[in-house]
Amino acid sequence: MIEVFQNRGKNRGKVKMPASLTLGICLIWLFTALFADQLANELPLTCKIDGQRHFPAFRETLSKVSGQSSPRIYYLSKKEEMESVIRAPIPYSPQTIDRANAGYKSPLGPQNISSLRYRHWLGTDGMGRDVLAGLIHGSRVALIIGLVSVLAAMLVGVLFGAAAGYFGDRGWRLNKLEIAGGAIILSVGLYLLYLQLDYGGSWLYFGAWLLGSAVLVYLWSSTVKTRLRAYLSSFRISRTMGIPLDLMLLRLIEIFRAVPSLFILLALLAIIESPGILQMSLIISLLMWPAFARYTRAEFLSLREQEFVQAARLLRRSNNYIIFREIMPLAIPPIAVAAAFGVSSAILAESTLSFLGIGFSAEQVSWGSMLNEARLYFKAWWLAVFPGMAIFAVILSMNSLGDYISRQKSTGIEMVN
Amino acid sequence: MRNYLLKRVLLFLPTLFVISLAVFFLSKTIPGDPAERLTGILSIEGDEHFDRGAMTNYQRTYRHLGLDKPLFYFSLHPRAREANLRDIERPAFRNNIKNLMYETGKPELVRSYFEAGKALSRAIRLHLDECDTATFWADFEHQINRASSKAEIAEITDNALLFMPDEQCGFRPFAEDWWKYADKIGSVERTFSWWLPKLSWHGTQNQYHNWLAGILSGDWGYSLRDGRSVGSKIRNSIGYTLSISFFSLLLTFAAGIPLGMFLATSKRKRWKEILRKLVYALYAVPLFWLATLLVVFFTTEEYGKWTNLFPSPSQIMLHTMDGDAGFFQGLSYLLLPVLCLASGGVAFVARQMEQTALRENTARYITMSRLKGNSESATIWKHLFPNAVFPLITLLGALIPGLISGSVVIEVIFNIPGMGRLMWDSIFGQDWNVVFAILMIGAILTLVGQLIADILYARANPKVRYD
Repeated sequence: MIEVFQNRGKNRGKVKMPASLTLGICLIWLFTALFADQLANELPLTCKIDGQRHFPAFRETLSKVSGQSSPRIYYLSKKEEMESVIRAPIPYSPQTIDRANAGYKSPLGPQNISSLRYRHWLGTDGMGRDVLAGLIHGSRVALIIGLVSVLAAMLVGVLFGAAAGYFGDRGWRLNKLEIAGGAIILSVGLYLLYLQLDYGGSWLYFGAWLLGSAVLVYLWSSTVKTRLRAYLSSFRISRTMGIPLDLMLLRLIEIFRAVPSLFILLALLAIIESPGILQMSLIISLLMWPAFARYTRAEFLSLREQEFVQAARLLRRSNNYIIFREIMPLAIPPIAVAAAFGVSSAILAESTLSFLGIGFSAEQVSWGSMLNEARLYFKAWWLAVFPGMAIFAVILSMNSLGDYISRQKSTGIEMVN
Repeated sequence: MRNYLLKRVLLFLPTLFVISLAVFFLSKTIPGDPAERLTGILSIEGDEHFDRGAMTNYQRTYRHLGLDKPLFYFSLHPRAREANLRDIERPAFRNNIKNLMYETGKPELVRSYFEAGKALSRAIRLHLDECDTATFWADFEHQINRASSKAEIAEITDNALLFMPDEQCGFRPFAEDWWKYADKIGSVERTFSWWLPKLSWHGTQNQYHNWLAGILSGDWGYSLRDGRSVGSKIRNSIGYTLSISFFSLLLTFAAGIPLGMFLATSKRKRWKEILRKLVYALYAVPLFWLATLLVVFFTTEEYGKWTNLFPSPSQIMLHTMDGDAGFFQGLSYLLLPVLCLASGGVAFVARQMEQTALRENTARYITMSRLKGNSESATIWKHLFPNAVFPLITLLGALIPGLISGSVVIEVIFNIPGMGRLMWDSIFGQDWNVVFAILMIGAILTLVGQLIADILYARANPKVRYD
């Protein structure tokens, strides 16, 4: 399991990284991630082809957002016909291969360039790709990985942790009908999933099942439960049983802790061949959710005994209301702290994987994969220093952001494991 | 306390069981075939006509590894298919047969068809020189094996009828037998209930059981890559990892605790600020970056004569392979990995130590000690320190599994053949016996480490009680 943070909630902030530095790093990071295509691109920002004005770099961003095919090939073929060209500040894309400058050109040494405009400010790698362009586009990868994996891990971890902390082992009670219904739906679903995977065919089948079972659950919970309950009580079906949510969560966390995350990562990465950014974030979030669950559970465990919760219970507020309206607002600051540290550990995880050469496919540039190249050729110090610096700066700023939040809103609640 | 311990240990068992299940099935989903690797066949489906000797060799290895057995004690499967198709060695044949079963909904029929087809191809090979139609059938055999749907089978049965071998042909009965089943498959209709689930019981003749029984009886099996026993492989690697972990742990605590105490209690404000910032920054330095920087700058003479301070990873690999490195030389190899591993730990321990010490500093017994006129150093080291240091005990428990399993990143960067590296290589080489052994050792150590930490914590702090 990837540790999101280590007991740092207790820390009443002794080190204060200058807020301006943290903010500065975050802003630069956001800026480069958002405008990576405009900052470093071999396509011009704007140009004229046959008298018509084009905005190739912006078109590229648009095509990425909307999922259309990239205009890159079209514009590269029109390279000769472009007029009144305005180029991006760094006139290279991360995948642009500058053959004249292949073979690790140092940022300080001489380079094969026509003018200073085309200089590789941070050097090139073995194939002649620009390091600075890679850094800029890598910031986008890091941002997506950090945000998506933390959001996904938070969604699962916070919900599960909140339920386990609030209900404990006996608080969530279901009657026999509900348990039987849930078990049937779950097992039918799993069986159909197995059939789907074994027999093949289209995923439409599975999607239809998902939709159908969701509808079933809805009908079952909204109508059957309320209308038939009175009728069914005559069959002694309404006797309820507690679901040991807390026990389940703790055992699950224990399992995640006992199996090395590297094994899980390698297994999943072997199954999904050459994963994209989204798949990668989801894989990382799979290892991160236990940390969020543990933390949220601890918060809920201590908050549920407080008077305001008991008051809400006496007022016959629903469990949903108490969890989301009464307790959750108080649990948000610590979760935010965990999220900030989570972003840094997700980025660390991705860059470590790429560094080890098991992350993305070769053409996807990330900070970790650039560092990987430094191991091949020791003379290229710029490949070791700059990407690492970027990772370091982002992790540092995220850590201090986490510390900052925990200083601002310390609830005074210590972690109960 | 005793009840608590008993409960914890009893809870280990289901957890370990689930872990073993999870690890086992996760490894089964990873594409790749250990039998292929062991026999040196690159891909069993890669070459259409690779030689029969290699195929027999492959089949023998496949069965020897027990890969033909079902995975688990029971299986839940649709009525249409058989529970276990793993006894068909070639993946493509297996898929064809599975498809046919799903299409016809008659697993017994498809199974007899498959067996008849196998007998037929054996017979054809025996009687190849006897009849005129034999050459046709020798080509035809190929089509038989490739047929994966009812339509395809219907087509080849029509052809087969035209070229039915003569009476005196040795394989005529086999061909007739095969044709009978193939014809049936072509005409059979699938019943509605093909998708209904069916439970099959396999008993103890399954892969999971065999593996678990091996582990429990102390026989961890042999490496699927080089045939050495798993125990000896682990024994070879554990020394490197243990020495690295031991020294880095020593360094972590030996440097981290005094540093933390200094940060908490020293009066030198400026030094404290600088050190604090350094520790904070050190904590955020990615381990692999630090290691790469040290390797790039301090193991070669690329950046001037004086920078070649440490042995480079390639040197380390050469010497560990020979095993002729002397004690001090060995120590010099460990220097960089230990430094890297300890750096993050030092920062973490120092920060923890500082925080607990600062918290304890406001406690009443400290004020009391000062009021009594005890010297500042006596107050700090006799009263503050023992109380502040014991939360670090929990940390010690969490570190135990890492001692053995090692750090993959460090061992990969520095080419150290330790446990992390062994696991790394074994996962990529699909050497599951080794992977399982390492994982189970790691899992047990993690659970035990947590337990030990809890017990130590309760021992050190009478306020903590487990009931």
